[in-house]
Amino acid sequence: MSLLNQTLEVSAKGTWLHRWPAGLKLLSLFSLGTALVLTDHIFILGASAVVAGLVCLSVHWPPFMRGSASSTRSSVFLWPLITLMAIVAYIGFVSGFEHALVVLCRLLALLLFAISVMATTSVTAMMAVVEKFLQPFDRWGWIRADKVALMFGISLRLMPVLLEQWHEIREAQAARGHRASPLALLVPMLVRTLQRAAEMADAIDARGGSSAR
Amino acid sequence: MIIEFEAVSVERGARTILRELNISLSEARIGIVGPNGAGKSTFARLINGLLVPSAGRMVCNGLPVAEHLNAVRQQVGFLFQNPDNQIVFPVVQEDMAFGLKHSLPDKTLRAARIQATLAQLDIADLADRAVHTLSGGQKQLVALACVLCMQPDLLVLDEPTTQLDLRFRNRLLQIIGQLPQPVIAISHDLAMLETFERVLVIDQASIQADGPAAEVLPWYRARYA
Amino acid sequence: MNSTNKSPRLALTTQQMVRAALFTALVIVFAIIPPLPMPFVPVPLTLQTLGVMLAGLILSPRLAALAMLLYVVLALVGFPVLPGGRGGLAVFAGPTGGFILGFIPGAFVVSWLAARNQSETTTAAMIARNFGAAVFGGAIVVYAIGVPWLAMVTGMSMDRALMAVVVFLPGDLVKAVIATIVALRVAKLQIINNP
Repeated sequence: MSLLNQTLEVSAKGTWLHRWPAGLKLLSLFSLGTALVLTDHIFILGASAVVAGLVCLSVHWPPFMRGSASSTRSSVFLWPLITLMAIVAYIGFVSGFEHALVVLCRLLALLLFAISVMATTSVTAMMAVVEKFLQPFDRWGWIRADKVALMFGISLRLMPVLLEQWHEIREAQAARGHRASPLALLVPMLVRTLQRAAEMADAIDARGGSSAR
Repeated sequence: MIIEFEAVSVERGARTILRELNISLSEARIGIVGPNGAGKSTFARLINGLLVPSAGRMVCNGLPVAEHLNAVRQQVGFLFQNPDNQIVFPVVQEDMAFGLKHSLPDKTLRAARIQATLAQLDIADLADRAVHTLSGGQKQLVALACVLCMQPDLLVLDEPTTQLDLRFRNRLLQIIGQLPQPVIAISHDLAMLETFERVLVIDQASIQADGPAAEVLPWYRARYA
Repeated sequence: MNSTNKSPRLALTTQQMVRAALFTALVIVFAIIPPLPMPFVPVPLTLQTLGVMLAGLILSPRLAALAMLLYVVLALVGFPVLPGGRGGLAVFAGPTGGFILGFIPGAFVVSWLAARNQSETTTAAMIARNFGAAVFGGAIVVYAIGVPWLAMVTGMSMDRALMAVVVFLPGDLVKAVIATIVALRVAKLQIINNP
């Protein structure tokens, strides 16, 4: 299972929203999100949900039409929808229909606006925004941007390795006839991970360490 | 390139791992063998300062290692046994660039050096691959490339062939044979060390044998098989 | 590259950086593997919160928070690192975003409250303290951020929002027990391995 290959991919390129810089999209999303949370007017929220839906369609989401490998992508957005439905149902049950409708519109608007940004912004572009955001802190000496980049690299690099390690441990426990007791799986997992950390730190130091001189 | 151990001891708690080593390493191909847990890895890690001696000192090309860690680590390349613990970035090229960040800040020169090193090991096609999609042997070659691209003056290899299948083992041996730098290799793979100039046997905290491969390896086989 | 002078107290050693980053990777793995059957609870539970508790029990407060911060940023940026392979802005623009953000102070608090060296106390006292730390940081602090967020985004009243999450508490208690014992065993093994 490849984390990198399964990142929530960008939908068809070249729509109007694709051309917006990532930072602008994030800022707009943040502003819209704040505004949506602060208002309770059903008409504003209803209209926003509709507008959000239109934005999504205009950037070709959901990608039902083009039969690419979109099953992963669509199902990933299914979960927020299910959570949304559960919450709306709960609210309807305890607070009544009107409140539930308000919440439905607000959550839908938030979700769909967020999806349209996600579908038109690659992970690389998002990371670039993070880096730009960190740059002033780097200049002021608060953080080391290269160390931050290294840590992201390590996490992404080691994630599939640790996943495999987990499966190995499970198999080893199964082969010994043990039920998958969480303790029996977690202790070796943690110990091996910490050993890995020690060796990786050595490897980085052997290549000159993590900081610029 | 001379590595000197001057009365070096390493103790961990009550246990003495290496005792009063006085030795000078300068040959082009040096092998290190010995039973597991005898101190071979400790020996290797003293060379580039990953471990510091409890007593005595290490000198690398005239530089005391303890005081010149960064300079020594620029000169000594270290390949670890498990490439998964050595490659830190998800994509091959990124990891190689990381090693060169300080020594080669110019991006074009860096890219050229990366390409050249990958070509040297015949893995140029792996440049943009995600590391976790590679086989064990490919990962080890990538790890070696990451070390070689920094153009070290000496290479230390910790069990380089232990996790490789036959095909990659042979490929690695061929590469090692062609490397211009001197190489110090810890290995259980005695066949690999047959062509080495000098082999050390480390056991019970000291060097039990030290000489040409042709003499030491048969002795080692007889005693430790 | 800037070679700014950093006060040594604030700078991270390689060892610390790698440990934090590895815990980020660990929490990702725990979040995406299928839920595990656990004792005393009828339903399989995800290990994500358990990972947060473990980060707090094993790392220092600063590193624990850093590890979770990396995790949150990776999720924000769009990597599918949340349970069910979810990720991205869609989750944070929704009602459950606060619970994930809460991991950062949560892990910090777990670590801050926990006793990480054996030497000071008896084993029983250490278990009790660490269990408390795991529950307080891993559950209560997380809910302290998540519940108001939930209430705000949905317009629910706070007690309604609270009732919605109360069902998760028994599971959190079980996870805290497991995390405490795992951390204790790991610490013992580490001492044996690194005298």
